[in-house]
Amino acid sequence: MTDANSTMTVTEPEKVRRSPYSAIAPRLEQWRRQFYYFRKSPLAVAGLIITAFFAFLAIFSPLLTTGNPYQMAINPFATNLIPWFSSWRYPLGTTYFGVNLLPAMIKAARIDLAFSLAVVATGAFVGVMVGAFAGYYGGLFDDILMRVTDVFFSVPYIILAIAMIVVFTKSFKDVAGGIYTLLILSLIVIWWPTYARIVRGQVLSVRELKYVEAARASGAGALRVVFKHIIPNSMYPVFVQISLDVGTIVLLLANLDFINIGISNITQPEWGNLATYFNYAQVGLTLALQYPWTFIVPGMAILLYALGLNLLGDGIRDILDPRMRR
Amino acid sequence: MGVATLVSENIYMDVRHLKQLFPIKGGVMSRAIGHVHAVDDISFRIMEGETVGLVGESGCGKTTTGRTLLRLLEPTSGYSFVNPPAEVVKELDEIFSGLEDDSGSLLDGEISSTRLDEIAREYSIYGVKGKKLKQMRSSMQIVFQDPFASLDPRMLVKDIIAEPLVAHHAANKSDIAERVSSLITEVGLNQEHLYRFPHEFSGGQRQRICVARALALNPKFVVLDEPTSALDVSVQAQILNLLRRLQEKNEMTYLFISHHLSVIRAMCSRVLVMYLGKMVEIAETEELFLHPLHPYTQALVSAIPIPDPLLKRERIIIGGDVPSAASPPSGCRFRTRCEFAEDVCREKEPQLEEWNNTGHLVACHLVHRMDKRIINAAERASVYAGEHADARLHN
Amino acid sequence: MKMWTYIVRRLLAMIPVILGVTLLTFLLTRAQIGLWIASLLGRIRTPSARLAIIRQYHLNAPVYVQYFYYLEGLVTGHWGFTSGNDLVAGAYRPVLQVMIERFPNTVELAVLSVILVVIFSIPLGVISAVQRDKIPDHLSRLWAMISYSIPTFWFALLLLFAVSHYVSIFALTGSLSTSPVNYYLTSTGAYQPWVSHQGGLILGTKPTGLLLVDTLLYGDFPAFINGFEHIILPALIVALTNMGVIVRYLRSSMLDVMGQDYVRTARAKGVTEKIVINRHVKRNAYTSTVTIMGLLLAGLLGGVVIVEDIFAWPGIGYWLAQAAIVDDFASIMAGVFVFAIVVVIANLVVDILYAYLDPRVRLG
Repeated sequence: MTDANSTMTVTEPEKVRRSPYSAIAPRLEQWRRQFYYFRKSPLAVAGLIITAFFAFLAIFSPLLTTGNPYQMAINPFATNLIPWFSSWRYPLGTTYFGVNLLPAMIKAARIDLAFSLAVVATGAFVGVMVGAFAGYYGGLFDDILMRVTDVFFSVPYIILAIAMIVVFTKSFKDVAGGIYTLLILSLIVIWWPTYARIVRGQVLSVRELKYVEAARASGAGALRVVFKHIIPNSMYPVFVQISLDVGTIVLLLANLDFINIGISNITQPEWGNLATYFNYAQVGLTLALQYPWTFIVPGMAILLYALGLNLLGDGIRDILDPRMRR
Repeated sequence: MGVATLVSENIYMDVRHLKQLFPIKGGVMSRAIGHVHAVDDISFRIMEGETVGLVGESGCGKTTTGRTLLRLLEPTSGYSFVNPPAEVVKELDEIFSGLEDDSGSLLDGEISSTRLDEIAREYSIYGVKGKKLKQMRSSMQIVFQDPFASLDPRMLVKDIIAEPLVAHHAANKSDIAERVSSLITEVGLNQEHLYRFPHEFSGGQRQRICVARALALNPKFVVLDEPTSALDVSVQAQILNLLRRLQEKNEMTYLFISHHLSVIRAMCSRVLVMYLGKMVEIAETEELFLHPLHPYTQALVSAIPIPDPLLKRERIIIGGDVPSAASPPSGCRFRTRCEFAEDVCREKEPQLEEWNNTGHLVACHLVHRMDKRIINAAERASVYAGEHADARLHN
Repeated sequence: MKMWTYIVRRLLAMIPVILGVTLLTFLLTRAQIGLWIASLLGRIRTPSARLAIIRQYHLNAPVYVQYFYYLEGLVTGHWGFTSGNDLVAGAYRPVLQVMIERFPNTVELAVLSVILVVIFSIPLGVISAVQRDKIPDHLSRLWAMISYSIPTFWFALLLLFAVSHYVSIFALTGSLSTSPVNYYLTSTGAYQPWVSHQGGLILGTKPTGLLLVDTLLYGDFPAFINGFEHIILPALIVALTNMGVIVRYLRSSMLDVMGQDYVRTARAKGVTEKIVINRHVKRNAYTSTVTIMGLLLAGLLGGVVIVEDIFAWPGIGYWLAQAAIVDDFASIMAGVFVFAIVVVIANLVVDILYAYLDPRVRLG
């Protein structure tokens, strides 16, 4: 019996190879090799750990926080409306209105992560589609796209965001999600040109490659060529940009919160909002400097989050673009 | 030779006045300030089942011709009729003789003939649309020069080979898998190679994969764009043999593009010689090597290394550089480097004409004065062909 | 291609971008046409004035006609009226006037920030490339990363907190101290011409509008020092939070150049490492780094807005941050336009400079 089995495997290796696992195996091997370079860079590993930590917080935030961090805010007679620090009940202190910072920040992790992913994923999707087709077809569509991206690139993000929010804030009063929807939509509008530009640049070089021509020669239509060959081979800078932008979006949101046109509701746990609670007080800045942890602690979360993603993005760049690996 | 016996009387492809100009942009507004004449008004025929060689130095428009024939590039103008019936060819001859002037070049202005448009919509690959175009395309494939660049690095070999089948919705999933595995054995690779990425293969193996992909749809016509020039010499022969074997088996027509004359001689039944976007000579292979008529062809033929160290080599060295294809010389394009050039070469453009009613076409005003050189070249060629006993006596 | 052809072509390429920006602001004004009409009306909000505006800008006509008249308004300087309250001059001032008044201050802050970015990032980038994959490299890359990831307002508050033990923050906000004691008399005892309101100079006292330049022109060193004390912290913050781009780009272009054959040849000739770096590598790396100065400026101006808001710096950014809260529509639109023009012109200058430094660009 054993003999029969062994001859089977020897004479028909293709049977073994054709299992669905085998189709993935070469890719796994490729990834393993790429991960080796990733591991060699301490900064990239640090980035991965930080990002994983925040992802963990975001996913398990309901389990990690019990009760309502805003509980004390509800009680108008609460004694500790003045921020506290260094008490074990409030490990990271409380901020104004007695909000307990640690659980509020853990709750905020989920919102910030979801917010930035929503913006970046949609922006990247739109940008990649537009950029890929514009780059592939060229011509007038491409020219127009380039001028549009030029326009978006020539105005600082934050100014564009301010303009969008000021213009549309009234229209979004009654929309589901309110200010969140408005912020996400305006940031998508601001962000997609970045991706369109990156992808277009890649496509311009990829479409000239021989294997794209070979695909066209074998009869593949434009759609198939773009989706099967051009987009997969143009994606690496997009992945890098995505990981960088997921951090940048939260930074921008925090800055918008600071100038009071982002999320400005006391009960919304969002890092930028938590870091700018002093805005709700009459003498904002001086008060902030009096209780520095109220902005330092949530701001530190933003810094670490963005830093982790930037390091991760840099590591991914090193993997995917060996040219940059030196 | 085995190759020659397959050639039939049917015309597979009838190319007429094909032109491919690329604009050069410049100035403040990036307007086209000139054109690169990559392929400039060439006409030729490819018979069913034959292997046609296309020779010329790099930059002369060989590859552009190959790509344009498959409509990978849209031509600036011209026609390429695929599989035209004999009566259509006859009609085309009539139409074109009306449109051409005495010397054979097209009359000024747009080619306008409703009947021609009709035929083009039916037979010319640049005229057909939709389903018919797809069908025509599936019968024509290409193998590129660089096997390292022509395979998508992110796809498994099995997906690469299956691509034409999937793109043409030629079969269902299990049929495709079956076809792919039969193709991979046909080109001399193993089943287990199907689940690898292109970067795991050597150049020769990759070229086999390219051939398998080209054969997936059972094409009638394959353009081989220098399929061996990126490979080691030892591998080249294997690939050539593979190609020849497959041609016999599948009854295919090849357009074999190469700058390597020995390879051309081994593979082709007929040879087209190109210089700077123009056809300068068309002849049967042996005829061409025995009687190279055009000075350019003579130089090319004389450059073939002769496998006999005792023989004195009498190489014709062409002086100067290839003129820019953006501003080709007037008259005969080769005149700037031709040692025989006369005034007539500058004034008038030579057309392809038959030499001594032999079916050997050459575009040279001075061909009747070439006799001496032809004899010399013929001697050299015969030496090359292995009849060098006599030749050695001369030395 | 000749240099002038390149410049002309580059100038022509600016036009569609600027038109695109006006189209963008135009579309935004159409989205809130009521607010826009109110901005154009300013203080006098009678129905007849409203009708006059609608007639003047052809707001009942098809959209492309409206765009044309919108452009006409922009070109002739009718940018609407502010609705935010300027503590010096009150509300409903022409936006163009406000922008012109505040523009030099923003430019001054941005230029000083760019200078600081260059000063800080060149040594970091060079060290990073020369000591590749060693501790200094990791540290400088880490700092580059941090500078990307740091929230501007947070960093500003942190620095303010750090210095607030030594200086009152009121001595740091604005562009000049309002207290007269320090510098109404110059060092020679003569009366000096500075008149400041809200931490900024008023119009008549500004030859160039750039405070540091003006004070030097008048020879008023105490005022210069006072102005410098005010500008240095904001500029430092903007520079530190934006220098990452340059450090990274410089590092990678240095490494690029160091891998080139001519550098290897120089080493093979026996040229010392120091001379190789100084003579061959740095020059070429700096040249290619010029290309991203435009990008740097676009990012940096975003930081300028936040920092101006924190330090009450009398520039456009501060004005915009205030305008955003009170829905000062005309100011926001003007801000988009002004910043876009600044960035476009900066890019133009950078491109021409680069074409001058690297002739290969002109050929492309």
